[in-house]
Amino acid sequence: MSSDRRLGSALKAVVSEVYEAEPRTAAKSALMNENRRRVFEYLAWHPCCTTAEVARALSVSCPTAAWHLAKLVEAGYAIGISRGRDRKYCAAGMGLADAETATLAALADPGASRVFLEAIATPGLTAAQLARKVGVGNARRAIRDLVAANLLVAVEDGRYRRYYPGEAASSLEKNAARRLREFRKRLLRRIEADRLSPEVRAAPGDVVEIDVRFGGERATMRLPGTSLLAGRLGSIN
Amino acid sequence: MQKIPSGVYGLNALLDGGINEHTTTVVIGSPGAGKTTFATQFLRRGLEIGEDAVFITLDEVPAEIIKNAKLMGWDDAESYIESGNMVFVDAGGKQFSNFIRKELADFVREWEGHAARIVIDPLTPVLWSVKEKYEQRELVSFLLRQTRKIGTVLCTLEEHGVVADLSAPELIIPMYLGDNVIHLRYASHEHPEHRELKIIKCRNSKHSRSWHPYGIVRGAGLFVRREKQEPVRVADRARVQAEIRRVVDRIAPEGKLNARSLSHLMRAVETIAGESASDADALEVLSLVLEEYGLEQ
Repeated sequence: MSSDRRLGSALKAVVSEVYEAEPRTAAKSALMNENRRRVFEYLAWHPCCTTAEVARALSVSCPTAAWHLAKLVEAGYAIGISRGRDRKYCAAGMGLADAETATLAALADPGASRVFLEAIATPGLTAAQLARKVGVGNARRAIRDLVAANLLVAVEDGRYRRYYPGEAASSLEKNAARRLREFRKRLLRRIEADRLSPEVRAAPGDVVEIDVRFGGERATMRLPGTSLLAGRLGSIN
Repeated sequence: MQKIPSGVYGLNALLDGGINEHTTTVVIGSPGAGKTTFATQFLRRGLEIGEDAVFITLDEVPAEIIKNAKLMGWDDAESYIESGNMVFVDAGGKQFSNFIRKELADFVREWEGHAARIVIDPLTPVLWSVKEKYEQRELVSFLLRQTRKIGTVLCTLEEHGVVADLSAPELIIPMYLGDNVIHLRYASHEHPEHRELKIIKCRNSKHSRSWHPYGIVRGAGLFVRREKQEPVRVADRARVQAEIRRVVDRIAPEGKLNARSLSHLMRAVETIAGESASDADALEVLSLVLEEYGLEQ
């Protein structure tokens, strides 16, 4: 039996992401709108992001981002997860377990991801040192959230409490390549159901490109190849 | 073929020792017949011996199922959910049938060789999600052939219309395709209520071919009686309790059961004692419960 995953929870994740709706007709494919395609790509690279984050990153208004997200969810290309106050969005078909969603959600905060990167670059810093390095006002809150998600662990050395990278990120990345392969397989099937003919190309770096053709129109989507965190953290190894 | 205990008191003997592992069982019954109770007992028994359990519910919400399971004496159902040993998958019929078509093959490839207990309750919405009979058959056949590779599967089927007719197409298809078929015949309009169970088929087993009366006792669950005779009602509570104390004194120190099984058994036995004034014969149910745990008197 695999140590960290169980059959039941894996089944639950897959079933919950199956599209309830019948595939739309080709003329209405959600991905043929360029802005919406950009939103989808953003979700694939930044799982568990909020509407506000999408709007900021793509320089569109919040209502526009919300509209595209709603359309993607409706067409079965994205899923919405209610976590805490905010609704977070993921590309559909990634099969993320609850713990993984929590890890990704904790890193969605830009302050938290900067603190996390510093802790990887220089393990064993104190909270005050981390706050000084990243210059984030509420670094302490970010640290607390990172510890809660097991992205950081606190170690007391008798005088100071020092922070080291926890297990969460590496255990997420351990399965990421396989997850993303399955994600792309599902995505291709979903795109085919829209009667678009997708074509996959490996691209330089950790990127997979999918060409989508629709009549004379042609578009390329760039999706993560082997890492679920690269979109947020860049290459951390 | 490996036999596993069904969790339904008195049934294993009629099934030639239990349910064959990695097979599919179809349980048919009208509303109130006890299909979901049957299914929860099946999962609970597996959990007791360390197997994983998946309850795919296409109809009721998990909270409702847990509530009813508790009424049947499964007080610690939630602890299995918290530990991740039992998972509820709450899906719509169409959604689940899309899963079967698009994802199931990949999923089974990944998890092949596992031995979980899987319940689909009820299977009926899956059948109704497609129009053509041919497609229904394809879908159910694929579902049953695939899922048994990752565990032992139990599907319930709603019986509509005339009880015990069993000729409706939504019954025929799964009855042909399942490895085992058990019919719970329950005539709710008759008075007194009349419950009988028959094993219609059980592949590779010398199973019973008769109708057997069955009952549902609060606190213990479904039990199947061997003979069709009036239950001997033991009105004498003191006698029942004395008998139970004798049994408990004998079992507890022997260490034949693991802690979980023992505590379930004790709870069932205690509630049976409390219900001794009801329709069921407490001592008969007690002996069926003991038999389920391999503790014949």
